[in-house]
Amino acid sequence: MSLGERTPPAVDDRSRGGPEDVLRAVRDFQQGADREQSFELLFRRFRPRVERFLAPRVFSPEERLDLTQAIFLRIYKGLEGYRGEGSLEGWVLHIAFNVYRDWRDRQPGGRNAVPEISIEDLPVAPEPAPGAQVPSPSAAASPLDRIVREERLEALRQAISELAPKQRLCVELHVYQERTMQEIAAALRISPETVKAHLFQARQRLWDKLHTTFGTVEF
Amino acid sequence: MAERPSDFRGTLLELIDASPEPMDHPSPDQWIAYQRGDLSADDEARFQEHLVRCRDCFDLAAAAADFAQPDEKPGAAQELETAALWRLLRPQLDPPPQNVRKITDGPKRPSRGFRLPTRLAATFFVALVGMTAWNLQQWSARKAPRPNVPIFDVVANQRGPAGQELTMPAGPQILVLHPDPSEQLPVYHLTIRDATSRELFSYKLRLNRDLALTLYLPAGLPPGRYRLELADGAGKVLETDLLRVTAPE
Repeated sequence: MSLGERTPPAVDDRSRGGPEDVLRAVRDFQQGADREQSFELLFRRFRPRVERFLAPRVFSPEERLDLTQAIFLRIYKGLEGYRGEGSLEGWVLHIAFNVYRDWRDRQPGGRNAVPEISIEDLPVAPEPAPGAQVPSPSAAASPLDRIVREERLEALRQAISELAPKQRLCVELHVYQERTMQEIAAALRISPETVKAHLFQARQRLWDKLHTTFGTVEF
Repeated sequence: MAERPSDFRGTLLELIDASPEPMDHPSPDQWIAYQRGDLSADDEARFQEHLVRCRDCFDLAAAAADFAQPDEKPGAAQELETAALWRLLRPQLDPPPQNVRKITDGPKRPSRGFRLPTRLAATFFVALVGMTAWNLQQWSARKAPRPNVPIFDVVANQRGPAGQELTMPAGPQILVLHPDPSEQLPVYHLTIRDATSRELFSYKLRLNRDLALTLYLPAGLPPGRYRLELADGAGKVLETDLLRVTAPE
């Protein structure tokens, strides 16, 4: 090595271990042979995935660090009992998701508190008129109300069934689960722009078919 | 009729709630397969239907999307970050269980059913030892001379084959015998016999610095007539005294 030449940062080759190396590390860990080294390989293998999973969900770097450690500590404690009935990455995903979900449900507001959304992005809901009564299914007790309700259900069922499958899924996920376009896109493995287009077209079609029944179609 | 905007949303929620659940919850492996596009079209459609109704599965499917992405070659910064995190994590790992096993290897611990009688026996043994120690302490206390115990000197002129009868009340007594000073022996044997010459007690005594033999009778003797025989080490009787114990007044 000549003077002035600098050694690059140490990059452990084992971090690029293939699936066979990972399975061997699990086996070695379970047999008690060099457990720490075996676990380090698993840590280096799965840490980027855990980081990818936590990054968009946990905004505080300190909490993300704590959760990462909690996830890998739980993996360490449970690895001896891993019997290989599913894939290792599925098992790690399960643990990571459970640790994250426990943390999320402990936050103020629980599951509805995450992800955080800027207040400017929130849709402005119309204020209910003072003294307005919110109808409930049980309150619609009169025969006329029941008939009107049944007619609306049937009209909506018919209109929804005529939508394209992806359009219907986008509408249902958006309305029923109150998911954002990005979340729907990730779940359906399509782009957010496609989700936006599906929602727009679905809104148009449903308006055409239902505006006389519901007066307005908003979602 | 004026319609509220919530009517459409409420009716849609009602419609979805009333529709049947398409399938059980898929496993994490299945969600990863879904995200990688490894499922058939039918399965994919069923999974997507399930997503509409199940919040947990929706979140899990989104997490699976992050796991299903192919790993890129980590950069130097990411490697350093991973190494730093490993340094934080490593001290928190528990000692390897097999090392613990090595330490604790040994005879198998008896079962609970076997341990109970052993525990009872041990408890009984400890109690027995304690009570024995307490009894010995009490016995020693009884043997020790008490203050104000009457002292009876058996003087020389009271001795002899038909010496004077010594009278004393029942109860704790201290007898002080004065053997013939011309025949000082290293050891004397004192035997107390009842009226029928039956041996009741026998003591081995040594001369004290006053050339006397001291005997403490903590419980004393019951009322009656007794004979004290003082003998040498070979058993030869040197002196005999008569003793009458009277009932306490």
